[in-house]
Amino acid sequence: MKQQTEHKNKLATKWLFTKNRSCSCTMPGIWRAVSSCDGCAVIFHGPDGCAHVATLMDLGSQYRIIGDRQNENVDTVPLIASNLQERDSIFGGTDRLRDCIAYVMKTWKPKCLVIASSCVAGVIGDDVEQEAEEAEATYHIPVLCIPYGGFLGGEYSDGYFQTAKLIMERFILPQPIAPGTVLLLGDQMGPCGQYAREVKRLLAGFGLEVKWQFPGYVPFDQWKELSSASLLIPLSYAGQTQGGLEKTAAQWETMFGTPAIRDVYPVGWQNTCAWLRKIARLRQNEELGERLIRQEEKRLADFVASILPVTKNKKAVLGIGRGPRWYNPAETLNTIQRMQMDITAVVLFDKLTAEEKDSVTTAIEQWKTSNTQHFDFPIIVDGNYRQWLDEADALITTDEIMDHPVKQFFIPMVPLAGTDGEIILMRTIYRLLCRYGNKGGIAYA
Amino acid sequence: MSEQNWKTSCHHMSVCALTGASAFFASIPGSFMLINGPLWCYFYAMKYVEDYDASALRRFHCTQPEGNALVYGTEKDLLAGLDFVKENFSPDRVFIINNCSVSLVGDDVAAIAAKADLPCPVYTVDSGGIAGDFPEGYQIALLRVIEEIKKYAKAKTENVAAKPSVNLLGLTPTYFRGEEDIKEIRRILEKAGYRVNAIPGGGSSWDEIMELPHADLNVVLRDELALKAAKKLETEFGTPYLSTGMPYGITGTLNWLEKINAALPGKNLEVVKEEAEKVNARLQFRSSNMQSLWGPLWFDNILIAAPPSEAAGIAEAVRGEWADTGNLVIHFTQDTPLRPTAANEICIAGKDDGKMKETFENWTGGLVLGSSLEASRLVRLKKPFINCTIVLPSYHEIIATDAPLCGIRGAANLFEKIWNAKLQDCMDAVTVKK
Repeated sequence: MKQQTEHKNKLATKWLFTKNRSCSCTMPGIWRAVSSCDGCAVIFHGPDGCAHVATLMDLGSQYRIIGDRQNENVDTVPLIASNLQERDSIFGGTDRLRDCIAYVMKTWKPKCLVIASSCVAGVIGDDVEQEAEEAEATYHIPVLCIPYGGFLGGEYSDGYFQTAKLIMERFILPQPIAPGTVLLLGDQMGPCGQYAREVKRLLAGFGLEVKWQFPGYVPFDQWKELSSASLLIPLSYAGQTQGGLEKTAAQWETMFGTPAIRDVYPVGWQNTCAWLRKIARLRQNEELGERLIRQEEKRLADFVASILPVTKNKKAVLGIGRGPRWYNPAETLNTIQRMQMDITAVVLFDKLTAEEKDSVTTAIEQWKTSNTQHFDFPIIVDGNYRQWLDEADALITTDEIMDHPVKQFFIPMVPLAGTDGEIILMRTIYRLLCRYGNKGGIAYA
Repeated sequence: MSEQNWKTSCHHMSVCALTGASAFFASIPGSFMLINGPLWCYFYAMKYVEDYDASALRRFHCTQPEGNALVYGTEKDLLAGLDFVKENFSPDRVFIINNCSVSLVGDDVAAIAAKADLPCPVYTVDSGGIAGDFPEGYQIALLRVIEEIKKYAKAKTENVAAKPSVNLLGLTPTYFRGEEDIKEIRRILEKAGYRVNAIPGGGSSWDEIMELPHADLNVVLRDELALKAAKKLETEFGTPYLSTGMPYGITGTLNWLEKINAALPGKNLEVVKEEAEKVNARLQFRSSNMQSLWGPLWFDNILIAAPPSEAAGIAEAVRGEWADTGNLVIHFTQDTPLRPTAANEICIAGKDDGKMKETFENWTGGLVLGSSLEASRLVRLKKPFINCTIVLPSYHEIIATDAPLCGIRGAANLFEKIWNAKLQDCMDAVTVKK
């Protein structure tokens, strides 16, 4: 089966879909918000397959962490689907949900039950909230219900933050502040992920200790204590999830008076410096902050010096197929510039909508004008970029390109944080440029 | 409480019927799959198939309907999706697969597809999660194709030269080492003198599948994937069927072949027996040598977690032919009447989740033959185990060689994997400092 776009001298990204519409589902977000909260159990009021998808996601995340040589030690809580079937579309599925709740209570004896509804339940019109209320009265445990109807009610992040909100409003009580303790807000692959590990390392420089990561990784019995943290650090980056995260952080500040660092995130070197300075000001020790920045800067500079013999003047093309909701090209451009590579072109892939292309183009032009160095690389939007790839040493890309031998580096979906994150990115690109011959494939950080 | 099956997903892994149907259709060369449903469901189905068939990602697309479409219908989204296919691809046929919520809308999908005026046939099915898991979706797809066979079936003709001929039902490349297993089963049967007429879902072309009624016997290798279809083919075309399960181990493979031979005599069984004896002698010799150095292939516990055909067959082969244990536990990931005598304990996902939980929590060490899910559970519970992957999902083992798990070559492969896993465990015990 031949793809006709080949005749137009266009290359195609590996996956064909665009993300201009609803592209995820609220249920895995709800699951992830409590997935490692010991004492909870989660019911998906939907087909079994919905729970399998969430489990596959979880498995992928776990093995990614293991691949990073991290000793992942947080177990997940039971996830059970009510197993909605075709006949339930006629008679309704609430009886099935009630039975499922009874089964979960008998088998898993949770201290808190979380119920998420699927698109099937949404179409059928099951009153899931009513069932949740009855379950709470029957079993005398809290039952959180997020009746978003799978993808009908929003995206993954909507389910995730709504669950966090419900937990905050219902369970977390004001507590005396424990000095020096930090609460991380958000996921980014959990406590063993690079983001949380790096944030913990950087905060340790200020004598701060991360006690919890919320939601998702705090046992139910400890929820009420969370407001004792002296500082709230949201783990964010850009785009879609940032709105929900910042809103949640703002609500936390209002409810518990905990200061939060919520307008700058340690992704990319410049942002990491700004983030460290903000914490230093909050700790009223700006001198310490500058000292830490100098230490980190030296690490970074030492590393860059070690790779420059390979990276300097190498031709790089930046390929973007991820919309502005998920990706900001500025950090990647900064990284390429730091490695003293020659940015020869930026390619906007066809999977971006016209609106997204405009927005990304504006972001790149802004980066150019804010930079002290002069750049005149083209931004290619018409899909005819083969010649640029033919001449490039590497394609730094959000999407794998098929049918072209250029060496490719995949820009991570989950951002890499801090100095370590920047070093990991550059090390992977450096290793790609060191590659002898052409083994094909794409390099992941 | 009514009689229900509640499967706890951390103890049981499958994927939904959307994936099962997609996997079946994707195995037919020249086919394009258009998922009428949200991107999320599409992506997981496509990715699952694509992991084992790199061409799949160029043969899948989705309509991405908005929420309103579930009230007013998906016609606009579906026509846009079909236009995309028409503009960019030239498939031999398109399968439109409705996901679960879209299947409740009640669109006349075939009529909408006709409006798109594609230059190739378009077939439609409802196969979302409410239809069940992978096996149910696979069955839906197979039965849908049989509907087409009914329309175009030619009269069965006697062809003595082509006898004895069989169809192989219930095979798929979208199982762990599925493609390799298909080749091995075909190799053994052809060596034994059978003509393999068609393997629907296992790589046969559309034209070959349309010839399904022309075989002498339908061999059902996985009941959960194809028993319904075999019964349908018997009713519609008079072709008898035989449920055999998958052939694991040397003895297991010969028993499996004898079973087929009893129903439909093969021309050349002796050649297969000779090969089996030769391989078995090699395995026994190697095993004795290794045992003299490393001790017996003993495991305090063996856990086998897999779909029925895999779990039952591998349990008999592992315990009957290679390894010893005092406790063999099976976790069947789908319901089944199978009760292999090699097992000390049998749990069925959805019925015995409490007991399955205890298997993991009380685990004291031994051999685990399953997927990355079981390995994940035991890693998180910090339990010691020796691991061989036999089913998907497989995150911690790469499939690169063409070695199968079943048949004679599969027996040697599994024997080697289990021995090497034990040896690696011995080495880790003295070299890995944690």
